[in-house]
Amino acid sequence: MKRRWVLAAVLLATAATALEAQSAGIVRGQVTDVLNGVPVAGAEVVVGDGPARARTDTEGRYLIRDVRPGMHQVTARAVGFVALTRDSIVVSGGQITVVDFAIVPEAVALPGVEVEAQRDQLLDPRQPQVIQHILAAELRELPVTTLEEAVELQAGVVSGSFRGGRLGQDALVVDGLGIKNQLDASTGRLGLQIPIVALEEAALVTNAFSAQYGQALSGVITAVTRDGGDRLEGRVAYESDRLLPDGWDVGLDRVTAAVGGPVAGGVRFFAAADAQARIDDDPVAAPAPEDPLDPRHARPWLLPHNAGERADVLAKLTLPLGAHHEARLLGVASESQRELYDPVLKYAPGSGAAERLSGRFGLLHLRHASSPSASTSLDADLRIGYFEKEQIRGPLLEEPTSRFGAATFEAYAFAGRDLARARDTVTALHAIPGVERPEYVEGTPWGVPAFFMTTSPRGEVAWNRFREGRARLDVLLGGGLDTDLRLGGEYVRQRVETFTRLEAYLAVAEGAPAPSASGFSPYQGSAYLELQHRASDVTLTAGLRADLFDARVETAGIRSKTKFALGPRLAVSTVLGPATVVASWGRFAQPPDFQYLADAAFDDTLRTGRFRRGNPTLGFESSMQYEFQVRARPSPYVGLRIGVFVKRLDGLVASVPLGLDPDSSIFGNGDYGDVRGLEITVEREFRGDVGVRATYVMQQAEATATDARDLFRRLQIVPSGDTVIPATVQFPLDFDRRHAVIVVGRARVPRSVFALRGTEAALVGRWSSGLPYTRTNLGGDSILGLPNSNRLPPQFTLDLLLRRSVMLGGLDLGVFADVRNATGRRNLVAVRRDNGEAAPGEGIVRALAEHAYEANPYPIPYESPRYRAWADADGDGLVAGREELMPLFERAARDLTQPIFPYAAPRLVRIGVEIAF
Amino acid sequence: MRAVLGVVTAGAALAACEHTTPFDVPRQDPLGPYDTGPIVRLTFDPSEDRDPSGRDALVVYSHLNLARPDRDWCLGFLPADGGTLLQMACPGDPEPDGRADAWLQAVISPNADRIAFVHYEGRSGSISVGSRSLEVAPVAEPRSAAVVVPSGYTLPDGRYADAFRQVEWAGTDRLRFLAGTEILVRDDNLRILDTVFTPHAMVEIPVSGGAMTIVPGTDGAAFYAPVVDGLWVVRGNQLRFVPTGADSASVSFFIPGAILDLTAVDGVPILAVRITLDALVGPVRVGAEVDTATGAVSWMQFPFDVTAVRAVPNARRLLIEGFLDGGTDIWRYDLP
Repeated sequence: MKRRWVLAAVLLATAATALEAQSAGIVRGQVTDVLNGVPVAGAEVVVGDGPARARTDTEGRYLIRDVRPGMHQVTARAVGFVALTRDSIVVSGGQITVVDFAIVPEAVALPGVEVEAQRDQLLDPRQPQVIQHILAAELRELPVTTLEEAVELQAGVVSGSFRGGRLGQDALVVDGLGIKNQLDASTGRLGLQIPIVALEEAALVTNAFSAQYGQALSGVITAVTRDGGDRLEGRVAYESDRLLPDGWDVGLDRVTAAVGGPVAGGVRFFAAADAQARIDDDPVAAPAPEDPLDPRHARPWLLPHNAGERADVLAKLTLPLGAHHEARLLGVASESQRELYDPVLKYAPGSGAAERLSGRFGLLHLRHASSPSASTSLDADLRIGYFEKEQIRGPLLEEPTSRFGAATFEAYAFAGRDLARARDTVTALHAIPGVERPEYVEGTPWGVPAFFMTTSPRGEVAWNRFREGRARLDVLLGGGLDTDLRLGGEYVRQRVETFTRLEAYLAVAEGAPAPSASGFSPYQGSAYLELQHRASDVTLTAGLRADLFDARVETAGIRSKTKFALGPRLAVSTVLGPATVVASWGRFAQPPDFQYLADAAFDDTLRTGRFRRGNPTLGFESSMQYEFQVRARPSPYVGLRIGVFVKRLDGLVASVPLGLDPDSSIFGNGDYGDVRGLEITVEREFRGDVGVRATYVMQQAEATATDARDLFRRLQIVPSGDTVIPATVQFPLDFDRRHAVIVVGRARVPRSVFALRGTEAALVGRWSSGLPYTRTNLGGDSILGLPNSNRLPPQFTLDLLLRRSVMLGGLDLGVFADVRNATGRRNLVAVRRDNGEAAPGEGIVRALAEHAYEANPYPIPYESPRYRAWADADGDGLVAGREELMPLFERAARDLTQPIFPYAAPRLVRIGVEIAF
Repeated sequence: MRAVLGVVTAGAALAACEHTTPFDVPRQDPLGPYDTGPIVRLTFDPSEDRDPSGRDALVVYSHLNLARPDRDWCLGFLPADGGTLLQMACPGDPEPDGRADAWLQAVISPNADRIAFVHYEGRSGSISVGSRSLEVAPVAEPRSAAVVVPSGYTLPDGRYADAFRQVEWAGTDRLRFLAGTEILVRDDNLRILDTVFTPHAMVEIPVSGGAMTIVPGTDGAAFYAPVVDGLWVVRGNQLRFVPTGADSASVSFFIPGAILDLTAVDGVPILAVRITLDALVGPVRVGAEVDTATGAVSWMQFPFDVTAVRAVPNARRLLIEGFLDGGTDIWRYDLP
């Protein structure tokens, strides 16, 4: 007995789940005779119109694998029995949905008799998954507009960081095929956005995910897109904040549309689009400046040259190929572009930089499902995909022309775009046409030549493109009802191209940093094997994944080599008393961002033109995660889930000094760390008219933080002349949010209240403790205390969605109001490192002013456009001397340093109308 | 159907409203004249402002830009009555370069769309001038100037010249100036201390760069001022009138002081002269209006030393370059 407990403990301590990251779910259950409860053998159970189907065994049990998530009809048929169909069965990706049937013999007419014996999914030990699901209905009813926002509702997610990890430690899986921005996931964006109206289901896996998926250390987001249905359906919505008063209107316009239905011969289509434009694409709740001459003083709400727009389009075809085969063709295109507000260009907003990001994704999915009569089922999925992401950031050749709100309906024109795309580092030695030299703006309220420029002194033209072709085969072998074997592999061929040119208004011969460019073609491969066995109250999952990659890049005579990583994963779940316990263990690996493999020139605030050497020998970043979870149901409709986890990160990419020059560095797999956490979820299921879910997360994420400059600061030269490197210490990671509470509530006005029938409301409340930051001295060149040893204040937001729908002649008409940060709380998301405040202290402002005055102490004569009569104290036609000039420099410095982006979004309200058919 | 129409109408109404707009960059309205009265100071810059010239609504002058490390002389454009600069254009804009350039003696064309100026180009830090050329450019784009007369040129009579003095427009497509040779002296800070100009004669040349012609009667003239029926010229202390077509002066007046400049308003010569009015005060530089019949001189005293005078065409207005508080600036003076 003792040995058995030890074995159980070992299993529990070394567990991993399976199936979590899959895009498909499982439907299983039992078919019995309603009269006597005898199992019906040989009955056929079909999901929808097929091909997902199965036959019951001698015990009347059946299991249907690879059922697409969503709402389905499930029908049981047997010779001599009346077919019974159950509607609105919700199947979630990676989860088992239990549907039992009690069917009626044809000879006995007892229509309407149906016995339902659905297992409790929360307590079912056959479900070791720890997936946080959001179904399409919730996406529509909650105040979220993007997949990212939906994911942020889940436990352990902070601004793109999953369970305290660094950015880029996640992967997106769309319809079963992974997409990863392998170029710059830790600093950039994916570039592809699935229209939220096209999602059937989204799910987040933050624990030990299935061996099927790699390229992630901390989380996998799965998105399942909708298929066209059996009848034509569609939805169009427009939302805006135009009606709202100043301060509530950020210039938003958004249109979403979706349509799907049958074409011919079983072929179905689905298409969706989501387009949005905002005059201020990054609205903040920054306070208005006190200086009445500051133009923000009277109109503090929107920032100029900060508009943005995006459009995402998805199209899908579903083609049945006989009884056991099906093909899906999916295409997604995303375009986003936005102007980048720069306080330095506040008085020359038309000359700022902008950014454009494009993403393309194409997927061909061929699926084979074996005959339901086969003794051993074999389902196979072949997926071939192409993903492309292109990004450019740089000065605009001309100010975009808005045509409807912030929407321009055309691509921004960037200076140097063709040069960048050609990666022409020879022509780029000259100044790039269209990039203007910066000068001090004359037309500021302060007049003095300081801080505010006509164009950005960075003069940056940065471009990159990442492309990959991906082929993947997944095979599911079902040995009976209780054992599944999954195996498969993937081959990925990639192409990375980058170009960077700084101070492009100058020729390199005039002192600008040399342009840098790279182009290389990595490949990745993987194979996995995963076995799941369900026996009574115990489910065991064991998997092994092997990954390899070779960046195929050469830097400074060093060529990359093929790197290997093995990822074993193990999970077990069982019933212990009134609770179900799940334990998992897994080891994960992901290749580093390829941006760290190539050389790069980059600028810094001192314009010293720092150089960063790429390291082609970088290997996998890895993590190992242990998780233990307990699930219980204190009352019939209330579920409780408590989980603890430990994640050990290793081989994280770090910047380390190159030689003795702290201004030059190289990347290495130098950092490691630990994340420990507790997650508690209490959910009152949405039954009747109310549902609430509350999540509390407590975690601690720390890692070594190697930075070339920090390392040099810590180095000590002892009297003997030896160099001593102090012991490595772990510091809080940037996303080490210690406490977070998320409450999601939904309610519907009861049908009995006729006047408000069709009204529903959703609420999302978030409270979280502050993220860490590092304090420095006033000069910013010395750290005070330890890195990330200070904390920002807590944050709180309350989001609401109110919707009123009316069904009329087959049309669903609705109006809705979406309110974010309803309380208008001014959340602080960053502070200055030199004083721990959002705004600089008076000493900093004066120092800035003094520095600027010393650089330009010249009197300002009456005829100069810089002359400000109110500053000419003695009225002699000259603003001259410290007494007259310094107040101007100080007000200019205060203007420049007014805190704007340290604040999170203000109260955002949008009102929309929609028609669905 | 009415409900559908209602939803569509609500959407259309929503889309028809105007959005809030971001704050505008405040426009700093240009200032008007600093003062009222017959004499108004146009420039206050402690640096050097010189060579004023005006026409219609525009005044142009040369400005030593001390804020630029290359110490270029730039061209400033002011409203005729004074106020905020309309434009300040510098050689090598927008970034200073390694050369010491100077745009001097700028004059506005009769239709006010072009300027002619003398372009001095030298190596930064050098007291020598690398080249001088007479150039013409659009008012809006002084940097896109075309060279009319290059550095180092030969007069029709064979004399070599390398300098230009008192450039003026002699019509919409002709320029005139005093041709001669010049030595330019600067201090260590590249400030021009003095020039030694040796005049040959007044010449005219088409802007397109055709043949140069010598104006008769101007040999050795240090200054000139064209009037309707002839030309006032200065030689030494003599103010002479050369009738149109004549090759010698018909009138000659002695001026009791060192003549620094000459212009004419309504045919009346006006001079900048260094004189000693008060033995205790010492020499001062003043304006002088000369009676064309008698040669009598009326002194015009200003609260600054007058170093140059230039009449504004078609107006009883002078633009005066004066010296005050260690630097030269520009004033306008409306004659009674």
